Order: sequence, then structure tokens, then C-alpha cells
Amino acid sequence: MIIAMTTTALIYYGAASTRAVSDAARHVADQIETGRRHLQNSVSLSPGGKRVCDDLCAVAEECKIPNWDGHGAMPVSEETYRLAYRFIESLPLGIPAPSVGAEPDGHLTLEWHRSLRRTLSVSIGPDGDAHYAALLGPRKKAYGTEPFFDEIPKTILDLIAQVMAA
Amino acid sequence: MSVDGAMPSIANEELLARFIVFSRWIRSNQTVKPDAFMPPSTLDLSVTRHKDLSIQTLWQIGQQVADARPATLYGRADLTATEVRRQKLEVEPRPVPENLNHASIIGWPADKPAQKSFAQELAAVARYVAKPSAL
Repeated sequence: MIIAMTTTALIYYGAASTRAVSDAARHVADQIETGRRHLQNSVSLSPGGKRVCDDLCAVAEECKIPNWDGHGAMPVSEETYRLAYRFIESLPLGIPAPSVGAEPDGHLTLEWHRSLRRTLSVSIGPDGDAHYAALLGPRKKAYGTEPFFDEIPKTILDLIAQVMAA
Repeated sequence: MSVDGAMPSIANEELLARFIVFSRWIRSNQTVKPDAFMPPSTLDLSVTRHKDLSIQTLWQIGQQVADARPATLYGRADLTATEVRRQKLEVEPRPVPENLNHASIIGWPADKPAQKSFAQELAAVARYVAKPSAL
């Protein structure tokens, strides 16, 4: 209840921050504004969550024909779309919304991106595996495969946190 | 082509273009997603060498790629042969009748996560050039 009220307050009353006058008050107002922006982009809260699901549907529709990339790409299957949708639905509250894309092998991709060298891409295919790769600074990187059974693998949640950390 | 029939290799400083015909491969900040550099199942990623081409001819080749789908040509992602080779990948000339400057990025690992990692590195150094509206 408290969390829900705080969430609502952060989203709808963030504009009050413009009235702050002292340094301390401005700092608090900035923090509220940052929190409000994060919450508005959360996967589990609209409009961010709805936008991702709408994007996923649009990409799957656009890529359901062979050669959708002009270079001979495989079509995105119904099963791939279904699994990617479930993956998004399984993202816990507070995770920023990813952007949606597709790869030539017909996999759908979800990307969390802060900069060119702080970015995570997760591919979902029809076999239920989540293939991921991340750049985590100038020299650090990670990649691998995790099975997806209706729960986001901890490895991927940790990488999202690392990429999106301020 | 050289006297012995072998294709001359691509110089390190040569620019290579990957044509973008899928809008979701471009981020809102005009950078390129790694999806654009993921290889097909044949593990040879198509690019076009800038070598000896006017910019107008380069865009015409991109338009041919888009028309084959058919799709919209949004732009191209440019990178050098050096940037490809820095990832332990190789780029070879593979001319085709409709594009004598066609080349392939080869040497990809077999497993998908490693391919994604390589594609991320290429995307991080690629420069996106939007198609001019005048074309």
C-alpha cells in the first residue's frame, strides 16, 4: 500500500519539484524526478509496459515473412513471439523497459542500452533459450545462454542492473 | 583480380557499408543495434565496399538491396576493415553481378552468444549514416 502510494505520488506529483528553492530541497526534488522517470519506464507499469508489448507485436508482424531484412533473414515464428511476450511479462517490477528488435535467424531481441559500451542484448528463439551478450565498459564483456522457464534467469537480471546502474 | 586469379585482399583502411532496411536496427539516438551485424546461418555477413564508388552509386546499391525485399532503405552503417579484423573476423571480396563491390564478413564463431558479442563490438564502432532525403 505504502509502496503503491509512493509510486503513484512519484509519477503524478513529480512536477511539484519545480517549486523547490534551497539546495537540499532541489536535491530532493531532483531525486523524486529521477525516480518518477524510472517508474514511468518500468516494464510492469503503463505506458512503458504497454509500449514494449505493442512494439513486440509490431516487430513480430513485420518479420513474419522470409527475407524481412533484405539479406535473407528467417521469419519470426508464433512460438518465438509467444516466448518473448512471456519473457517481458516475467520481468520484475522496477526493471526499465527494453527496446525490441529482431535478428536474421528469426529470434526476437530485447535490448537494455545506456551507451555504446554499456549495453545488453537478449535473444529469444523458439527453443526457449535466452542468448545474451553485454558490454560492460571499455574492456569487460559477458555472453552466454540461459534456459527460460517463466522466470527471468538471475544472470540476466544482474546484467540488466549492471548496464542500467547510474 | 590478380594475375594468378586470386582476388586482392581488402585494405585495412577501406570503408565497408552495411545497409539498413529495418527501422528497429537503429536506436533513437541514431546509433546501430548489434542486430544489424548478426550473421545469417551461412555465417557470411554482407557488406559493400566504398572503394571507387561515388556516394550516389553506393546509395543506389543500397536501394537495390531494399528493393529486393521490398523495403525502405533507412541508411547504412559504416566501419573499416581494421575494425572488423580487430574482432578476429575477416572480410573478403565476394563480388556479385549486381554489386561488384560486395564483400562478406566471415570467421564467425558457431555459437549464438559469441556471435552476439562480436556483433555488439562491431555495432559499437559503426557510424550510422541516414539516407539523404534527396535521393
